[in-house]
Amino acid sequence: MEQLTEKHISEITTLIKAKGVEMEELLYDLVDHVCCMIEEKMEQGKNYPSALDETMSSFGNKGIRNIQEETTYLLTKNILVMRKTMHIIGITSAIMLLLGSIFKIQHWPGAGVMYVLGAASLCLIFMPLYLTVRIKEKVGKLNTWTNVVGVISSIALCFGILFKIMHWPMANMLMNIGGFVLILIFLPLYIYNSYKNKQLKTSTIVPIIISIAGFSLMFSLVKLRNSQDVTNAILNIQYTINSDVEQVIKTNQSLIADLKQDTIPLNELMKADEIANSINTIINDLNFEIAKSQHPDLSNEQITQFLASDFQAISNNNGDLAVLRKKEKGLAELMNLVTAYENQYQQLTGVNANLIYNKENLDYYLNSNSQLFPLGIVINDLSLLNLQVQKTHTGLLQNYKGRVS
Amino acid sequence: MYICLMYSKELLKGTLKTIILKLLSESDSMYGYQITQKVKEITEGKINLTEGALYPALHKLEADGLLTTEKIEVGNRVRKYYRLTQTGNNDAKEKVEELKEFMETLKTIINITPQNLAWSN
Repeated sequence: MEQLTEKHISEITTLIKAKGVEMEELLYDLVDHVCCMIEEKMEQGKNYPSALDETMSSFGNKGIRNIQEETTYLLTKNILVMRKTMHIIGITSAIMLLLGSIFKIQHWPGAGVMYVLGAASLCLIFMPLYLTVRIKEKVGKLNTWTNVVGVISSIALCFGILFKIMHWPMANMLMNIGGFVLILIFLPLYIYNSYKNKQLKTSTIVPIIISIAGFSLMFSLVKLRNSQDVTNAILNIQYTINSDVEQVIKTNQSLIADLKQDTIPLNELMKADEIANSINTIINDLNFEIAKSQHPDLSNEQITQFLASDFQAISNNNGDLAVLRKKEKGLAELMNLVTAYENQYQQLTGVNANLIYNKENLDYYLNSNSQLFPLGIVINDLSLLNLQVQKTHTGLLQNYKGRVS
Repeated sequence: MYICLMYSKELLKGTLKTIILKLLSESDSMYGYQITQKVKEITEGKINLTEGALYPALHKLEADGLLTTEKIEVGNRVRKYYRLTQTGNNDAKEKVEELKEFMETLKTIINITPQNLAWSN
């Protein structure tokens, strides 16, 4: 009896797979069947190539593909209703999400409800139904696992995005888990699967390329909040504030020195000067510490230098607000000092000091529930407060100097 | 003569499962190609069971729990043998009986001659 070699059989398997047979069990049947037909032809005296050729062409162009389709149809006939439901729910939730986006952009009411309903029906009904249908189609073990991983990570990602839009907790965690599983587990499985089934052609590669490209773009969109122009503008403001503070403090020091020389200064004025100096010290310390909290790897000298001249090097991250909330020489004490200075000023001049600074932000840093906040903005707010205090102090000192001389 | 070479697909469709169950009930287990050859042999080539009809039916019967399969390595490849389950065995008997009755009923219709028809008088 004629017997086919292993090489022949792997060639036949490849040929049958190329005709579109995905079901593992059916593949065994068909490979054996075709082999039997070829062996019979070879026994009648034909050689292998012509027997193979004759057998394969006896199925016609779509014959083998049709066998699988017929099998899938018979096996899934009873879940036809399930499939229809799946399609309808899928389309409905997609439309709902689309409408939700339009409503959200236009600030019309009801966007939130649409998002929640759309995403919930997509994740909780459509995806599980899809998975069930795929499992019932019996596409092979590896294929099934790929589908399971894909569906679960998609659900996590989808809910993550929904939570993010709705400002619900754990959004980032869900998005990260979903995204990473999708990229690091599902995609390799999918590629391996396609490679194994010799289907690595345009129809498989294009979705892979699109999904990787899409993910990269989305990732950068989420991660890069400000454009370069906005960042530069903020940097310029920070540089200006820094050099202004430096300049004003120098002026104040020389004014105080003059006042001390000219006459015995008023005790109350010296008190105000002390407060202004403490404010300067605390703000510089807080700026340093919050920068350090996000960059523990940098040396103290490096942080001082970055704060003074290369602000960008440290301002792109979130600072730890806990640093500002310490009891000793923290933000609370700073705000008390600012109030104390305002009182002292009023006592000395009879006029309201009227310091202009972002009190709302400082209150937020002190009392909000969030732990992290963009470092650049915190430092900006504190430096601006310092500038205001020191400039007001200059005015006070100059006022006295005028009186004395 | 050529009419007898192959019956139309429609005629085979309703009886395909019964044919498969009957063949399997008469032997311990069979593989796909063997079933097609057996049918050809018994019917002297009058019924040609194509792969396109056989394998979907076998998989459906397996999914319904009437058949089980066993994979055996034969000549460098895997061969799947199909075997009746207990339910499959019972079902085979029922289906064959049903088909026999149906054939009897069909005969009465086919054998009707115009004289037997009431309106022809």
